[in-house]
Amino acid sequence: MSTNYAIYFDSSKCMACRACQVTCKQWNDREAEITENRGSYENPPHLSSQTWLRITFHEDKEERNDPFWFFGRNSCLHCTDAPCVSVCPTGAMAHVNDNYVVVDTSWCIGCRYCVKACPYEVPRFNEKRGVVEKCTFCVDRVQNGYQPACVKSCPDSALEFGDRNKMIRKAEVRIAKLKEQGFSGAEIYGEKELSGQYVINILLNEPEAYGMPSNPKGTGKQLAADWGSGVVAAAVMATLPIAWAVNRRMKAGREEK
Amino acid sequence: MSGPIVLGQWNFWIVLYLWFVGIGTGAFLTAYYINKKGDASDLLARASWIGVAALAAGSLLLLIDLGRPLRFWHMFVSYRGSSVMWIGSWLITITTILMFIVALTKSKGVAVLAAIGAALTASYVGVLLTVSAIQLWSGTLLLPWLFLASAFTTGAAALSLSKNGSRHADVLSEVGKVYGILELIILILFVFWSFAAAPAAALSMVAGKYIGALWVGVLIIGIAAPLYLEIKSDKKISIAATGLMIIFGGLALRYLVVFAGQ
Ligand code: SF4
Ligand code: SF4
Ligand code: SF4
Repeated sequence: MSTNYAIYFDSSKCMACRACQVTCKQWNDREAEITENRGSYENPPHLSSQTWLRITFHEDKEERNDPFWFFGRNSCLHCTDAPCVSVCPTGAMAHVNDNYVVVDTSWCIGCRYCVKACPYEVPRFNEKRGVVEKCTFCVDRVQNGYQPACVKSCPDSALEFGDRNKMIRKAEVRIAKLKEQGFSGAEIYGEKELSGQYVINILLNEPEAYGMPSNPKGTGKQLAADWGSGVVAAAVMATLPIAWAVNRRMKAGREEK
Repeated sequence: MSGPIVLGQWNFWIVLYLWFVGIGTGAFLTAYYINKKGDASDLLARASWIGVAALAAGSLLLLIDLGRPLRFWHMFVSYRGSSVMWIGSWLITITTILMFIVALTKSKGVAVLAAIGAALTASYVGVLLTVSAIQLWSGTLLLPWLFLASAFTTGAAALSLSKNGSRHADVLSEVGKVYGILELIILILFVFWSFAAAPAAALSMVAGKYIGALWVGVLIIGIAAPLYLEIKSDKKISIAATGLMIIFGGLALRYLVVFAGQ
């Protein structure tokens, strides 16, 4: 059985019924959250340890005759080059089958470094349990031959599930169609980002309009640059100025005597 | 309604941790060099204890901050070389032990190793923040430089306040001056660079929510006023005031960077 499955989300088809959001809570035993009306149907306002998936609401900036809304899917994208996995000091956040990213809550120490590292602010801290929680790609379902709960619940074809390469090809066909229909900004997100993600998004506008970065920083080169700066800083700052300051003072001291 | 609560914030415990690490490593390195150039074994012994206390207290604070403090050993049982936090945990543990050995035995060889450990530890806390998706932290490569400069100013200040400090007041004040000026330069670069890399956070530091922390806490109390006192006056009374201001400024700097970022 191939494990190279991906979730496919088509923003142009989503009607924001949020069946996926509710089903995610049901399957994963997440509590309901009490929120306040913020003047938007988008709710809850952010992901949490109890909300692993939520639909985001956006209004188009372009002038159209009618109000135009589009919807995003805010959840873990299951990155191949996943910053959350890379920074985790315990290995609690790790890839399963080399693709999906799952946190082992029995091993997590609650340091929240993954929260700071994820470009999408996906992992969330559960203060009661003292650990971080997030979408699991429904590995418990997928490994038993079922679709993830969110995909199963979608009444439209906005969410689908299948072999990752097939999903990418499907997305390409869809993007071409959308462009024909006048959505010039339509694009695929997740094919190349962070060496490939296991959620393939079809976006109608640039990622920023959905609150996602266009160029999320990968870990490899970045890490080398950051450590490089750190080691050079240590080598320079902890030697030259201090030696100079001490020498200068000692000399002055001797001259005074 | 207030804005979304981002659960999992790094909060005041982390600020204190960064501050303690700076003071402990800076004090040790300063004393190490002074002892190398002249006889200051008393100062080095004092600094070793300050280092051990500050690093141990800092690590303890970090432990308290964990969601599951009793699981901290999970960090030490697997190899996680890609994680800055994992490397840092080893670094700080080893450095603390080395400083402890120096404090007890005054061994010159161990002091060299402890100094290398201290320099890397002082720098790692900057790398820790840089490797993240937080724009203000990852946007520039300057945090290790900034934290190192501040480690020396606060470390030297802590030494000048300590029991053996007065005998070395001149050289400690010289270290404070040199690193104070460096810190000022790096801070200015950091703020300018951040305007390109993290405009919202940069603005909040310069003219928004964190205006007081930057201008009053870090710049005036932490850098400008002590520099003025160090350059203008030789009066012994000002040593305590200068030292306290610098150390407070170090706290303000960590607070500013950690909170304005998130
Ligand atoms: S989206 Fe965030 S939490 Fe999910 S794998 Fe990528 S970095 Fe990790
Ligand atoms: S909070 Fe848990 S999963 Fe996240 S980095 Fe820390 S130990 Fe790893
Ligand atoms: S179930 Fe399907 S249509 Fe409904 S909100 Fe989720 S993705 Fe959109």
